[in-house]
Amino acid sequence: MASEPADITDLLLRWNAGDSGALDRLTPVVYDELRRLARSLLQRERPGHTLSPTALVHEVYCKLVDQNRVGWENRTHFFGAAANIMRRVLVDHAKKKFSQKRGGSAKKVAIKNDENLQTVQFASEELLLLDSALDALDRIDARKARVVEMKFFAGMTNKEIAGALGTSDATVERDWKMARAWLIQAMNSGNPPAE
Amino acid sequence: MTRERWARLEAIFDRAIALPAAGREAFVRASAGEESLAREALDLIAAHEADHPLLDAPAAHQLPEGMRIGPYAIERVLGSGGMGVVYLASRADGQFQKQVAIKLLTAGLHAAFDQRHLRVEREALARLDHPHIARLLDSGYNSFGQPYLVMEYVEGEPLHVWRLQQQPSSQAAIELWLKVASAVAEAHRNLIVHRDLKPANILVDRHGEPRLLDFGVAKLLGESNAEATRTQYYTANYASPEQRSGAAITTGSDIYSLGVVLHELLTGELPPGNALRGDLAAVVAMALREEPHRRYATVDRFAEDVRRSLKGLPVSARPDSLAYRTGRFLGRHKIAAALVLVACTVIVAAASVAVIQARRAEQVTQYLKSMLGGSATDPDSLVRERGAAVKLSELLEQLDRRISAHPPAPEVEFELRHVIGLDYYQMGLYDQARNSLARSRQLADRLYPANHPSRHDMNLVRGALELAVGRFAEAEQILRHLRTQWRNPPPHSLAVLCANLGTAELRLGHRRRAEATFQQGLLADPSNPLLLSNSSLVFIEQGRFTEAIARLEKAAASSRAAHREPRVPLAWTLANLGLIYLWTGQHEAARRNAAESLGLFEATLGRDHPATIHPIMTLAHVTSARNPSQAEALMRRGVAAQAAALDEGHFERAVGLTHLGFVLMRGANPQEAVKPLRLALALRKKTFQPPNWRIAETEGFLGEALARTGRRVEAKPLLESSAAGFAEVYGTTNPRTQDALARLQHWGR
Repeated sequence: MASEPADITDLLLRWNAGDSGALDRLTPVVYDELRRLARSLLQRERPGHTLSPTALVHEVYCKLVDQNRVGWENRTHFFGAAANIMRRVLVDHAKKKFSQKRGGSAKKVAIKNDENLQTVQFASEELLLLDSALDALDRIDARKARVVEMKFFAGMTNKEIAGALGTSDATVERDWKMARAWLIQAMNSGNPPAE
Repeated sequence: MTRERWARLEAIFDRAIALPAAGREAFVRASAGEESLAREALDLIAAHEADHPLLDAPAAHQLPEGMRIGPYAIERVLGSGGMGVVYLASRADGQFQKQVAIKLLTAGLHAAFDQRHLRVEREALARLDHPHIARLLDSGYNSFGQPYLVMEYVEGEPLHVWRLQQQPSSQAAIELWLKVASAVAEAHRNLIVHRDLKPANILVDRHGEPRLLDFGVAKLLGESNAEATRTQYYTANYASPEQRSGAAITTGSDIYSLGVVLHELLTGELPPGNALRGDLAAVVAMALREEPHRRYATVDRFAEDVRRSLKGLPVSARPDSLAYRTGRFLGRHKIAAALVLVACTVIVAAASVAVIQARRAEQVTQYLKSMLGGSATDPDSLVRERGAAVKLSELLEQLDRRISAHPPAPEVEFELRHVIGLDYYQMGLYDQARNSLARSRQLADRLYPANHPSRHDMNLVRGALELAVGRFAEAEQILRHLRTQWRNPPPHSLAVLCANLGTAELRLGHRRRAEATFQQGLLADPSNPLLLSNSSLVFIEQGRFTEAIARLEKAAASSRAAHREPRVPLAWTLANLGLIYLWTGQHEAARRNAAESLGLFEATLGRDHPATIHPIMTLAHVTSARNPSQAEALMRRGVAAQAAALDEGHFERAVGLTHLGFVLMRGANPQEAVKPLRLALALRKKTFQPPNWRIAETEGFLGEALARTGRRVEAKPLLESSAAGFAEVYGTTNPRTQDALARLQHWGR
């Protein structure tokens, strides 16, 4: 790996101290690591060993960041940033799978009625639907889109999201409910509702 | 969609979903005003009510009954804690009918840490197979990627509830506790420390068999991850001092917690309670000692003592030793702890930093010059000037503030904080030193990997600092850890490390360990002055003065030969040398060494530094016969320096008072000596436990003072006790014992 854990921690601390350039350097490292992990896990498709996006972000965090040195706020910001990166990782992966399937060249993905495969399963069409709905939501209400990213892709709690966004738990909860309903509505109708 | 329209939609949605379902449509239509907005709001509300498997990955605490985790179906929640939820569940695939407990982590950010704990728990439990440890049956990830553990379900009551319900006899309670102890011992044999032993984690089933649960915060010993030796999870009432302070955790931490559990099980109270008596009280007290290494070495030994006390057999637990009490006392009195060490005729560890300082002197000088516009010379020459210590301390404070206001590059700041910490340390400003080193440590964490030499240097200084302030257990811990961490240290560094570590071990009462440590250092660097000096303490405490003198002379010679060795450590060496020469009746050598020591102290630490009392008292002794008034003036100066720096109750003050008493009693008016000597004796008796040469010394002087004023009846028992004390500590042939016997013969008639 090109980057040592110490560097990531340092970048994280610097970013949190207001050095916005640090985020630019942080992102590719986290992205690479997430993609690498996601690839190995998604390809494994072994029952009982799938991993959710949340767990992935946690894995990467544990691996890259020296947790002795970063406070709760830093973790929150890392997860806030990682939520967006995770979204990109999964969407890229889903796009690849989706195009392989449409091209018919790739091995067919077995979708059994096995709860252990759910995570692998959603990694294609449904996820792409969610992604474009989320883009649409972002254009209407960027904060709500961030809330969804953090909750869904990084498994953050309302309190943690509130911390990252500088708002209250109650606002996050309201945002989430509205965003969730709007996204479901958007995905069910096949295209986003009145924009 | 316009911002206004979105805001209206949101307002309607928020309020509508708070209403009962039946009233929503009417509310929406009334508040929307127009059909299209109402339609959108109603669609959203319908979506709000719908399930969505993708978006609704449930958090662990929301798992509904009947939901499956792997092959298990959830029945109900058994309990929940900071890390997750424990469910009662059973096999849903009909393979066998058995209830199990499933521990599932709550989702969320903190789960990153908890996942690691769950992994540790899984590994720990997988290693353990013991009738009194709840067994691990299975583990895996659920469909949302959350890890879970499946454990044997124990139907029973927590220990404290069991005690209330069963009201067991002491015998029954102890027998149950022994089973728990055997479980903990098994874990320790597998290199696992539980770290959260408490009644709530010990379930007693209906057959009266206990099961140890919850290895969630366990520590796998030998794991390379340094973080894993520390944890923020603990239960205050049962946690050992090292857990509460965030220090490293060992099996001793579990021994402590087991001690608390036993105490509570027997008395119903948390320690310290007064209900325990006799051997059992001593046994529990030993388990509850503050320093882990002074508790039982193993759970098995602890259990053996408990078993023996049950049978009325003698136990191995001993009451607190002198060294321990002293250590505790010193730990509470940080002030001038360098002096505290010397009170035990110790040479302070300051030289350890000399090397490092020499290496970085260039950098400091550069920085000082830049800060002070070129007016500053190197810090050594500043110190060399009389009274410069004060100036230097001001300079350091100024630097401190400037660095805080305008931090330089982290690498530079690390060096500076390090050096400033060293300087504060050398000047005895230990709180400032600690702050500075803590900052330096923070920076090192950012800059250097765990095994970087700069960190070793810093830890060496941290250890020396703890030693200097009398926190011997901490010093020992830091330094012992450093010794294992440091691959191929330079011989000089190893010598300094051993000098400090050995001294800490000696202070903690581990004479043999200290001897071995000093020996290790001497093999690496046989002429290291600090090491030579400190290693003489082993001899001094045993009254082996000839060997001590040889060692100290070698240390002094070595110190003088070293090019840049700072003179403060040499001053301590000479002070001790003077004192031992005095004790062995070599007054000219005593005077010479003490005079040089005093000169060095005055030049480096200042004329009024309380350290001066040590050479002063030797000088006063050798002067008293020839010139009593000069001796008295000297002692009064030393006592005044102490009074200015130390609390009235500081046991160091006994040194000044004892020897002031000595010169007064040999002067024109011996009656004046009685009061300071009584004070000194009270202080020393409060601090030390007889037999102790310090108590014996003051008793001898007080006895003589009383006899000189005609109060022979009062004097005799003191003189007898003094002679007996010296004889017990030093043996009958020791010159100090001979002195005390002569005094008894002359004044005790």
